[in-house]
Amino acid sequence: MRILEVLRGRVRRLRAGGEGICAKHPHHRPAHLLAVLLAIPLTGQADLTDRQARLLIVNCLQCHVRSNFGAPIIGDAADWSKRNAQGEERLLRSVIEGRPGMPPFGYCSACDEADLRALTRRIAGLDGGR
Amino acid sequence: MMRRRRFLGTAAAGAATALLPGCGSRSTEPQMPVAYELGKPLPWVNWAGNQSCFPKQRLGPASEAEVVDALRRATGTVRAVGASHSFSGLVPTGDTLIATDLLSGLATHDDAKLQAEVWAGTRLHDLGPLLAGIGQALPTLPDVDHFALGGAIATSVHGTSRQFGSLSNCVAGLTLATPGGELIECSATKNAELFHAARVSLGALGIVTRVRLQNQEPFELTEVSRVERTEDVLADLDSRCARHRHFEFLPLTHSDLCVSVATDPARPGDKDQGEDDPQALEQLRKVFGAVSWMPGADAVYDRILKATMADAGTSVRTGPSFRVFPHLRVVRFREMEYAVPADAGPACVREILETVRKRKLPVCFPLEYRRVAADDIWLSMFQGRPSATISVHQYGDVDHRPYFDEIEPIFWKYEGRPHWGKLHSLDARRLAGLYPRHWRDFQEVRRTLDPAGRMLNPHLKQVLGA
Repeated sequence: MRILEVLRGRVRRLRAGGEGICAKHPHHRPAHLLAVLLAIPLTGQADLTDRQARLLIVNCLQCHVRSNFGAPIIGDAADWSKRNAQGEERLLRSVIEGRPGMPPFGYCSACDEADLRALTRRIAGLDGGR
Repeated sequence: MMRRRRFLGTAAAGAATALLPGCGSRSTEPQMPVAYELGKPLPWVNWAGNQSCFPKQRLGPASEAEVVDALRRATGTVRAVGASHSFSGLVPTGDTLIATDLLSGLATHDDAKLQAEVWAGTRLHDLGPLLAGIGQALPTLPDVDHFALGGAIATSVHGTSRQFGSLSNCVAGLTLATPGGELIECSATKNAELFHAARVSLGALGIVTRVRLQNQEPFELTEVSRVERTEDVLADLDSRCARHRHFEFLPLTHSDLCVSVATDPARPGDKDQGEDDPQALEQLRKVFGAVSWMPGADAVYDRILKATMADAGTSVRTGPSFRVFPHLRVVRFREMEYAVPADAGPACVREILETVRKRKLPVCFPLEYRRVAADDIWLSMFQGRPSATISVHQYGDVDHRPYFDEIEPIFWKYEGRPHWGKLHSLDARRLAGLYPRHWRDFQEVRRTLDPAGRMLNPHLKQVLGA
């Protein structure tokens, strides 16, 4: 997937002290991006279109990579096992309707049902995220 | 708006509920405002769950050219949506909804001027790190970072500071895709009238695609929160607003306590102190629910709060500005906010607190009192006057109307201007009187750009009178 290639490229640049790091203020490194990179299994397969991957980055990752948010973390099976046991339809309805702390549609204004289903599968690790 | 960690001290109050009978509280589980079926077109619903619609078309353009194309081909009433955080009815349309999610990221930047041109769908959450990466930072931010930049400036979203204006006041230029499908750049020196109108436009002029922000160098902040008496804060308010880079306070209803929040440039050695309590608002609600039926409930409630919050001490957060400004939300609520002249703020908030107490309004969600500098933007709530903003909130699963209906006339008495993205009941006739200098100027620009009123949904028709 192109998005994974982009992310891998960013990892390399970040590790090299390149993109996204201000020379004057190196402590302002975008830590959230690193968290994303750590959370997304780069060897896994994500059946997301480029568009859906961008929707994931803009919306879902605001919360699902931040351990202090109370939201289940992408790629963390322990966070998802009970939720996933409810089944995909129930999970999808939770995304659409929102939960305490989570907005309806997970903040994704552009998402239709197919987008939400694909993003939910990917974040929750359902069917290996495919 | 409410900040969860601010009520760190009330966590202890939760323990008190275990000792009290009838401690049940209503669920804050979100309620879907409309029925829907999987496999059929989904509705749009805002964050608070009080606005919804079933658009015939839901578009998500990924480039400026696609925005223009979408506007040209759209049918019926067209509305743009960012992060869906507005409480007011700015977004709903049964026709064409254009989402800006994919218009995100940095377009260009100018190191010498400390300016950055950012796509309008960029979430504020991403904006801080993005700007830090080019050695820039916004001088001020609101305390919610989930907004989309375009939506935030359309409604004059703000933080709290006597010296800084709203986010719209940080805009040095922007690009607008008009309802007719034209792209127009504007700034103080180029298409100036459009610039004055488009910096706070309610999305009535088209879709803002890019925003050029006037930033400063990155900086660090330290925020200190403490529990105090509301009257002590009010007695010292001018001094605190002058002394601190940012200052606000959150009065508790049915109590003489508040939480004050002072934020200043970080000093060497500043360290975090205290922890977030995501459920503090729920704990406050449980305590209130447990005692509100009693005779003399106010005194009992106030006493419990004092007993449990007295030892709360001071909590501190420090770090890069874009990490310190925002706070997390886990409790859904509804909000009404008015901006009143700064000098009238203390009298206005006192009258609200007194009204809640005298009329025994069953409300325990704290108020919020902030300051915002004056600006010269035509429809900004802060146009021409330094302002105090006062917010009232109600839990999302409780009917907010009885409370807001009681309080809103108090704001009118103090010449308050309602926040464009929050709940209020004013129509165009009343609003025109609150913006005597430029109401007609804005209407003229709007009619020129959108003579057929394609961007006007029922809410915009009500507030703009078009």
